[in-house]
Amino acid sequence: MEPTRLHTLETDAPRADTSSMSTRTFPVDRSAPRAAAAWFRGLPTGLSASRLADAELCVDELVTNVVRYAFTDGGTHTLTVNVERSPSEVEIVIQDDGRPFDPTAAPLPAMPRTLDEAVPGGRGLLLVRSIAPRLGYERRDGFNRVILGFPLDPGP
Amino acid sequence: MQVEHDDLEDGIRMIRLMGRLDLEGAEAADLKLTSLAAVKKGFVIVDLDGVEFMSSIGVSVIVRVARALTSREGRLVLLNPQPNVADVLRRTQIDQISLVCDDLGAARTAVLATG
Repeated sequence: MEPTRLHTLETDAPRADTSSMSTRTFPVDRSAPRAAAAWFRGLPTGLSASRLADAELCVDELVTNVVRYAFTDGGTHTLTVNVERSPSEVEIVIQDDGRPFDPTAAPLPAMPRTLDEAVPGGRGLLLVRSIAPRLGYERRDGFNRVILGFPLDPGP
Repeated sequence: MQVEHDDLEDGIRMIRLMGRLDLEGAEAADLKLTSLAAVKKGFVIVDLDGVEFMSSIGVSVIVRVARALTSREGRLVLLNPQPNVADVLRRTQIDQISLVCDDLGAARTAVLATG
């Protein structure tokens, strides 16, 4: 078994009284980001409009990463999104069995000062890491598990 | 993802994007947007008012088109993004390197400006 690693950008996140709200498995293909975002948006999370938009963007970005980069074998794969709600937070876990990838530790692209310096890609993790109030990662039993936490408050 | 265009005065081409600029939307729009932006004078305004959602994939498409235009001394100006789309442009700092305008008059002036 691989060692479990847990990284988080927020160390004092609330975890009490968490209950599962919904889980959905998606095929890893180009339709997955839109399907996962739409499914998440339709859940009764109780998030404010701004928090919900932020969370939806993070789900889209992380699922897109799985679709584009997690698998190189050309086979058929799935990913799972689990959403739980505690009294103070909505937690989203995105799980895949692709190659190990820690979005909390991956290097970010340098901020461009001109269009010439602007590379076309690499901004998804920048968005997720700048938006998600809580972001964690662990590799467990051959699965990547990316954990997002969004507070149930009015938001910024 | 819908992509439409109008040719304005002064050789400016206005391209309107409508829909969701996520992985599927970006793939659907990329070729058409790139083709429409290959206008002779290189003055292009991309109207984002109809874009309800933009992920980093959408940002990449915009950056690629803007780079192609500047490489031949053209310019791309973004017009009227929704607040959530403007937030993505701000967080990725694309608003620092490609002009974002809230009205068409300002966008026309900006796209024709030199330097």
